[in-house]
Amino acid sequence: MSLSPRLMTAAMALALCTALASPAAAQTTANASILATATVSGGFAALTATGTQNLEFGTIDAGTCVAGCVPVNNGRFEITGEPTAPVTVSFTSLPSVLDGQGPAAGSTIGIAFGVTDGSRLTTGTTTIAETFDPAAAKITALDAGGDLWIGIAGTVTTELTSTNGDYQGTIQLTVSYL
Amino acid sequence: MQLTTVYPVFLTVMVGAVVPGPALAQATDFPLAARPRAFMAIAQRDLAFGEVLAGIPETVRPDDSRQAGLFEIHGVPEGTVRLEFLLPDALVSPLGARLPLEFGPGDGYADFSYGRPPRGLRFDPRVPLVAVLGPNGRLIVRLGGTVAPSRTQADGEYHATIALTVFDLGS
Repeated sequence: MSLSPRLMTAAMALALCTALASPAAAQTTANASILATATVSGGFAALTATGTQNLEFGTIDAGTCVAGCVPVNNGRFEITGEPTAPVTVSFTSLPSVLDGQGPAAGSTIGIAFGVTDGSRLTTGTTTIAETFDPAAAKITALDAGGDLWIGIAGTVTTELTSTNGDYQGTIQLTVSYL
Repeated sequence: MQLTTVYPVFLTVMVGAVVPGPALAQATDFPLAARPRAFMAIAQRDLAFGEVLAGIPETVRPDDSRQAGLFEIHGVPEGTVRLEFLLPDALVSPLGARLPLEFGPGDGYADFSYGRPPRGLRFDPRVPLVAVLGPNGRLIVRLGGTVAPSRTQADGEYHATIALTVFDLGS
């Protein structure tokens, strides 16, 4: 096996470059990382909250909801965690308007929440066990099975000139252990 | 076609001959003391708090031989380096629960013992540290910390990454 002089020169030049670029000559920083780990036991079960039912007003006539229309389905959140543990439930986002979608984009209709529109439901049902003001934090507790169902109602209002179309907003609930 | 077959074989031999330290020293005729060394940081051991109880803080001391985090730095003997940690403020569970993690002014330990009985310096890992590598070109850095689970801390495994960047400031 023989190499042409030109190829030999090119290969040696490349080898020299590699030597000059060796880690000891060029590297000025080095990085390493480790994990910090822990296992918690004897604590509370993790809290989870899931929105399981939208607050739905159905199809409404703009002319009939000037004074307000109630929902056809209340919204519902299902919370799980440590059985019987006290928790604080807060609606951290309650919209004041619903935003038009599609052809109604750019239009809004009003939505309001009354002092009894928040509710604690009997777990597994839509039966209201107690009501509360969703604008304020509610202190309650998970049941013996570690469940808590929270409902939300409201009222939408339209103008006679409201644009036809779908409208929606986001209701956010936050729950935390006391 | 003949050249393209021969060239990669030749190149492989040359590169393999110059990358390791001893071969490079031999080729350039460096004296042994001036032999270039790779500059690197090596993660040797995680900072492990083990099983902790909700509501009870748990501290791992930096001199804990089983649970403290451990890094090893290699470089030029007596070389000066600057250490910077990126320290998280919480461990996180797969479900997103956070377990607060704290570091105090004595939670770092630069170990200069070189295998002999402990001799070193405690330091605050929250601020950069300038240190000198040992005569063997090595420095061991240990890291402790404290987790503070709340009374309602959710059960489970929690993790976070602790990163160390080492700057070579020269000899």
